[in-house]
Amino acid sequence: MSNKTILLIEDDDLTFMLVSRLIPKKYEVVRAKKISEVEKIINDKKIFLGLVDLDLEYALEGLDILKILKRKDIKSVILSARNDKTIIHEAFKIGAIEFLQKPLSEKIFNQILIAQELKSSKVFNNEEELLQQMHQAVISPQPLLITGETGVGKTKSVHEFFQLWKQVQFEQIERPFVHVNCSEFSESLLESELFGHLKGSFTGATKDKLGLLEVADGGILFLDEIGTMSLSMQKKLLKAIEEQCFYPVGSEKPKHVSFKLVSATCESLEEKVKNGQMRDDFFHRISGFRIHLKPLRERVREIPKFIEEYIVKNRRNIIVEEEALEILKSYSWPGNIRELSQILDKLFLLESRLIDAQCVRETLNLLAPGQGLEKEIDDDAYIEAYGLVKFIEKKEKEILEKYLDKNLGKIRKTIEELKISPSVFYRIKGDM
Amino acid sequence: MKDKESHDLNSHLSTLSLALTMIKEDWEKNPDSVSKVIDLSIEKLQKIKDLLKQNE
Repeated sequence: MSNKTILLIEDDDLTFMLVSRLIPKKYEVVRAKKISEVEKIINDKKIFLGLVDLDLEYALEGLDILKILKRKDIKSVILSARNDKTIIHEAFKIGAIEFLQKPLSEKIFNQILIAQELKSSKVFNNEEELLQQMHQAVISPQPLLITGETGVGKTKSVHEFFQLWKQVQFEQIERPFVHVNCSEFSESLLESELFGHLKGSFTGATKDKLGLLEVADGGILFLDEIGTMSLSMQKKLLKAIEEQCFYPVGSEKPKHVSFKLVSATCESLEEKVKNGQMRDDFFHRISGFRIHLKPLRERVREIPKFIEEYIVKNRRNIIVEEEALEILKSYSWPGNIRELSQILDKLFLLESRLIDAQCVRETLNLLAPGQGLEKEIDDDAYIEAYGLVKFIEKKEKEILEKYLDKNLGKIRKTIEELKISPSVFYRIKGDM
Repeated sequence: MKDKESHDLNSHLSTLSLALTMIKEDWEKNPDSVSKVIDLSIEKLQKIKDLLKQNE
């Protein structure tokens, strides 16, 4: 049972009864009919959210109530059957966070409550701006596009988004999360992957294959590296997204689907549109809600938090001295969070658990020749610390990263050059 | 119809719309509340009737 209280300001008995019924049982609902009652309640109780009916007998009293709640830093949502734009505008100016048109929809009502819960959570304090955008994206019906340089944590953010999105869905059922890296497939293969195919529809189609669009039904379809998708594939996908319906290859029977589309790219899609490599309509369709992840060099204040997370994840402690931290903060981090993670991997292998400026300079290769600690972390030391399996994993990752960098992040090319299968690629890549 | 009347009518109608949904959904599981909502809805209908009279 939550101890959170919702203050419902409503002078009409029937409306109060009906709105209270929409509020989940875990909240305590208290009622006020007029200003004097509001003042008394907010002085006595901690209020999680105020629901203010603007259709009170005296509508302007509703606006005064909003001001009182705002002064106490209580978030308020307006309920109204009104369509008086002036009053609604005024309410937003005062600080109302949402306007709900009557008759109320239970689904929207729940989404707002959950979004408010998430906003009040302290979990992501250090990434408030990103979290706020995530919340807006969660309740937005628009597809989400996440952009940012390679290594900034786009995939991680999409997974976090999925967790938030699941929480605001009306029905709490298992939701699929389908991750497709578009750069991994040729055009025909991608079509077959997304739309599926019937047995015999082309050479090699030895059995029916379910399309990933269908697998994602009711959940999230995450199209990674969407900038690599061909123009003709964009056209087919655009039709499927807009009509929420598609035909598997070789089939004349349509499949109806509903999913939240999330895409990610490290490329400038605007440039691609300009150069004719991306359809304008497709770009606008997939980018209804955009979140741009800043490179690490613009988020250096978060470096201590990343170090803290790393320590928790690896269950080993290190102390980073102030001067060392300043060097980490002033570094340009071309590989972003992925590079920071690699540097921390190296720092963790040092004998000393106290990381000073010298260690950091050396690890970042910032020292002039001859100034190093002359103490390489050799393969034997690694094997001794972590064992052979971890050592092989590390080497695999290093080689993969080297080839990915060389190929500017192009997965298909990397797979071809390393002569490995996509599944081996993703096993090695992990959450790298 | 004046703005105030129009607003009041919309407000009453939207509340009644919610009331009808509630009556349907809670018919079996919560008959006491349904009964109360029906009584209050009748009062609401009377207010609509009063509005109509004012408008004549």
